Amino acid sequence: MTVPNFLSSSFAPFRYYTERVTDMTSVLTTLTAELVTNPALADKWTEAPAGTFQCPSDASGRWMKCAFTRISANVMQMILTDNSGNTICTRRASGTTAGFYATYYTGKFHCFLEFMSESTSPAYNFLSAWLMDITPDPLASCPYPVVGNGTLNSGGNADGYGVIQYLFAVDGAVPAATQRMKGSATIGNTSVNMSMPSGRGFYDECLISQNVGGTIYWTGRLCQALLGPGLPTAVGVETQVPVDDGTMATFKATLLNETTPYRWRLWMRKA
Amino acid sequence: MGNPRFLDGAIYPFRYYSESVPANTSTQITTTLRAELTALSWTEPVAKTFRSPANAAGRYMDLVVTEPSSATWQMALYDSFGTSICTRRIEVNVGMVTTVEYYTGKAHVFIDSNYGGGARQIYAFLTDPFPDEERFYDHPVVGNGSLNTSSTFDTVGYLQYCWAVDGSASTYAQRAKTFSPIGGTTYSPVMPSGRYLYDALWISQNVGGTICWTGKCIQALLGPAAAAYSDWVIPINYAASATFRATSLGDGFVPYRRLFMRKA
Repeated sequence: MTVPNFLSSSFAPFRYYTERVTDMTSVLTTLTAELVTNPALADKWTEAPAGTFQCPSDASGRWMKCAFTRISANVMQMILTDNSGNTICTRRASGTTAGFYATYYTGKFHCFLEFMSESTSPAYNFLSAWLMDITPDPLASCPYPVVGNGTLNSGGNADGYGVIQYLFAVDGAVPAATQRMKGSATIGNTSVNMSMPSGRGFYDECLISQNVGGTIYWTGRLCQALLGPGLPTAVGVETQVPVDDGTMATFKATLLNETTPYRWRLWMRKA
Repeated sequence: MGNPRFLDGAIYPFRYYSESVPANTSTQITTTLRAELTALSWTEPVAKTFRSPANAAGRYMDLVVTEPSSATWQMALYDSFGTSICTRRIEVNVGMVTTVEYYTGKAHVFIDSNYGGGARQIYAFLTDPFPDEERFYDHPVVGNGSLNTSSTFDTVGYLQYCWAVDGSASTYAQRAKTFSPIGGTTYSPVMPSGRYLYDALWISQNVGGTICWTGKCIQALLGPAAAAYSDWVIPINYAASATFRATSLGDGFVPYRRLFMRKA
């Protein structure tokens, strides 16, 4: 079995970087390095103007643009737009004024940033953007494959959408935040933990639903991302996950989980 | 690389057979099932007790079959510890010829009985826990059937339910994994092009107080409520497809899903 496209390092190449920063200016500098400078030629994003990054087009000519703005030393804003001119979302994420750790999960079709404060009870914020993969469906069958989110709204406030089950995307013709990510439940909606009898975590594709022409379909998968176990797994834990029956990959537990009881967490590809 | 383990014919060989069973001859089911399972290296340590090959941890399942009447067929399912998983029945024929389809394999039996006026199903799986190892779990046997031991349809016989050990005793529960967003409504497994989505039929069980995913049903897929008794060529990896047949086993919830069994 070949590795599915959304986890393929050739279809959706990825990068990982983490650093301690004291000002979002440093984050913008690193984003330029991770998205524009360091990737292979075919995988490079473009940056114009400074702080606005456009990913490579997919095979159907679609792309996304992330416009980052330093609001203050510890607050970053991202305006996510698609190639049709839709503003998918405007979201913010905050670090702490004393300094924080910034982690960058980036790739040809994704950009996931997390900021973790230095504290005995650290606070976590994130910003996310994906151009989804709908393979083996024809790419053009999903007209609006860009999804994204962030911890805070454009006023810098938590509004309840900054959790894993919500993503902003175009529904019909209008961007909206709704519960889109396939979860871990039985027919009849009994929630099931992301675990197996040995204690091993259970990992699944991040399959996204959208309203297309009045009907809700499953429209794509988040590249280099998996839905995996939440609590008691801590943020930052790394694990090996089979991406097919014979290939292992390293994924890292991000800060992005759901509301209580925190069964699920987003895991991002590190290596 | 080969196919996913639970769909790999080298690891889990499978057979398909269909026949018309004359009215009031439920014994025919036993006769045919014996032939199908013998070809798959099952044993019959006691007459009408069929034992599957063991998995890597030595777990197996026993099917004790009987014919309570000429029109009903019963399966009592046990695991390798002798735990009774369930005793369920199907109507084989109600005064008319019945089309019976047998989907069998090293670790599964699924019988679909279409008697014209309706359809009944009965099944047993020894689930595959990959990427977990078989040695980590003692209770991988699951099963169900349309009718209870009074030959009554008791609503437990839908796709979402099956019997398995929760903790230390077998019970029925909604165990089948589905397509629904976290916290949201369940949606049909369909993509914008109209292509259907299929997924492994994952089973959940209570293990030590935690409900977790314990294994996949062998040579089976969860799919949309497409027409029963039709064949579907479904990709099983990015380079290969296989023929599955839409069985008559569906769920009772809108938007409705159906079990697809490997035919070829």
